[in-house]
Amino acid sequence: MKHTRFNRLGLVFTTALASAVLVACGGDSGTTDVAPAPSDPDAPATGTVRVFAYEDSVTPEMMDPFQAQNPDLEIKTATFDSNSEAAAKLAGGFEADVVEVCLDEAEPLLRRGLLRPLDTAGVTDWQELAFNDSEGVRQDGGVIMVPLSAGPHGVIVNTDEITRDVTSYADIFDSEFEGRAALEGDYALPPIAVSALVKGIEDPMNMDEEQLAEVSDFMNENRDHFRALWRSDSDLVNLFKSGEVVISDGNSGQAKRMKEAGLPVKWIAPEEGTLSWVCGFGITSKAENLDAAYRLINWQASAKAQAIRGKNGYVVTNPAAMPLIPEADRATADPSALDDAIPETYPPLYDEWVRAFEEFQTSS
Amino acid sequence: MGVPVAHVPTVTGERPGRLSRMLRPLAFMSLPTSVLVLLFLVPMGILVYFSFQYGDLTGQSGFTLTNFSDILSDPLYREIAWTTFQIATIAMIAQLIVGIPLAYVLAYKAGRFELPLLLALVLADELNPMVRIYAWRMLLGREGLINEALMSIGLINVPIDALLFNKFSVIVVLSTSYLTYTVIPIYASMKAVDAGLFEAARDMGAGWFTTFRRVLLPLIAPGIFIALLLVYVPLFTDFAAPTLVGGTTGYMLGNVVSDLVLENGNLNAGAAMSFLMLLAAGLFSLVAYQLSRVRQGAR
Repeated sequence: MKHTRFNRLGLVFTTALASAVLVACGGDSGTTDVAPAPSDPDAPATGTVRVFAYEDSVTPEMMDPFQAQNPDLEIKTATFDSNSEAAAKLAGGFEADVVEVCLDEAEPLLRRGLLRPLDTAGVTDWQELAFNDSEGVRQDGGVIMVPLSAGPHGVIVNTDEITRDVTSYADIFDSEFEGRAALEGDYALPPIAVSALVKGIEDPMNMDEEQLAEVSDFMNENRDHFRALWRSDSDLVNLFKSGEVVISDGNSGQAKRMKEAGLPVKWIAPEEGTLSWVCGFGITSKAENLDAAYRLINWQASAKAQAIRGKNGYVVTNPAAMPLIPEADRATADPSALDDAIPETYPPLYDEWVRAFEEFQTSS
Repeated sequence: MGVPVAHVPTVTGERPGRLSRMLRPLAFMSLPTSVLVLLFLVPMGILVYFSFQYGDLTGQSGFTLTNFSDILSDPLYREIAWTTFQIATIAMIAQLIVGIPLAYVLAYKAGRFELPLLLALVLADELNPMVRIYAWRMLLGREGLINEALMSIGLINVPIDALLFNKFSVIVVLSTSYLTYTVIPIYASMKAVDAGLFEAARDMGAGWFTTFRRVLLPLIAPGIFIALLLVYVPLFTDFAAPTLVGGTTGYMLGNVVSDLVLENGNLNAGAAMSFLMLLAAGLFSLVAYQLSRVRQGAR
């Protein structure tokens, strides 16, 4: 669970119809040439900048300081629940200058030519940013996004209910926890990647069809083992709080927030390797205000903005933010925590992953 | 004395021309018709158009029937359709079992409480669907009110897990989510039935079940038909309930459309699936309409 995902009720209909209606109105498809860096990256931006991102990247806490730095800039924000949805809307004519890109979901944006490579000379802290060389940041030689947040996806346990050592994703599948375990289920990637690691597949993102079939069978055999599939941060919290589950996959940030809420939970980095996601901002192919787009990206990558993300439980990408992060949050925010992690990237067989996940949820 | 001449009204004004008389209703209809066309038929047309297209929105595209053949030939989708049919049908039957007596009480037995009860029914529908579903989770959960109550009176020693996160809980949630739309059309049709008919049936020796089956049911058939249209069809497209209380077994057709559009980014396949569901809904409506006419004709 990268970011807070909203309930999807009505989203399909509005996405489909908005895309359909907007595409009928059509327009030019923009350009995929490198977006030139501003001549003066420190000059306050003017005009309008349109940002399309996950909700927690454009909260007032994140955006108000940027507005204060650029008083003559009009900032318009819109949020989405996945990059697929963002791609459908952007392709349908929805206009934005900056879009949030997650490496495990970026393919629909790339396939539709919706991103414009960045000139890293325009990103002040580029050289210092963690994950700037992660798989997927560069496409065909061009940088498509500036990493701004990340998170390890491990195991969360209820420490009151589970007293033995939990060290692995495989513990989620242990028969001891039958009917009391959960998996992330808001999209296909996390549950299948976790299951693949349990099956001993070391490179889950690049599974071939045979391996995927093996994982799919394994998941179907264990369907009744799981009490629920969680779809959002609040859903996961609710499942632990109500005693429905005692073990689940999840992020360190989620575990941190649950502990702060008084729940007896612990986050564990699994021995199979910790899955991790990386998200950041990119520039769209139809961006109009490039100066403001770079200015926004630089703000989001700055130590101050990164400290806000770190305080909110995410792994930061700018190490300069670490001293600004409260002591209690530093371990969670430290990018070195992901040094040996398994990056979540868009699987080449993603359609098959989605189908396998559909099968998992379909009782026979 | 002459025969009185029948009074013939005099025409004081100029009668509107025939063309004007024909155009006037059309003028009245033009605005609502335009709104209907713009907001309903045009998007519907675009949906149908996309269902027959292949390729990306911005990439190459063209006419194809593949979206339909892929869906219709896929055993997984057939299984999901069967699951959806089972869940929606049981939920609909449950709503009729609850809704018809409730409408009867409202129409004939509530007396001065009729209006307050009706308002309460409408207000119940105003509750946010998410809140309602989470409320059900609090009721049906392992540490929920039902399990707690059963344990406190000693009926069970361990909580019943089968109350939540399965098809049963999806059916329970769906059965209550649309109850207002089930009751109100049936209630409205009952209000049009003369209660004296029940007395007449009793005088002729009919028991309550015969009265219900031979007198009331045929007369409220149109109301039931409307309820089916309003409720049964949307049940097939719901994905909030299966997502939040379905656990690993409540996946329905609404979830398929959601995943096709939002996860796979395949608007064409999603549109095709929606179009097929629309056709099925149309077919169902036709059958329900014919059945309601048969019931009316049988009385």
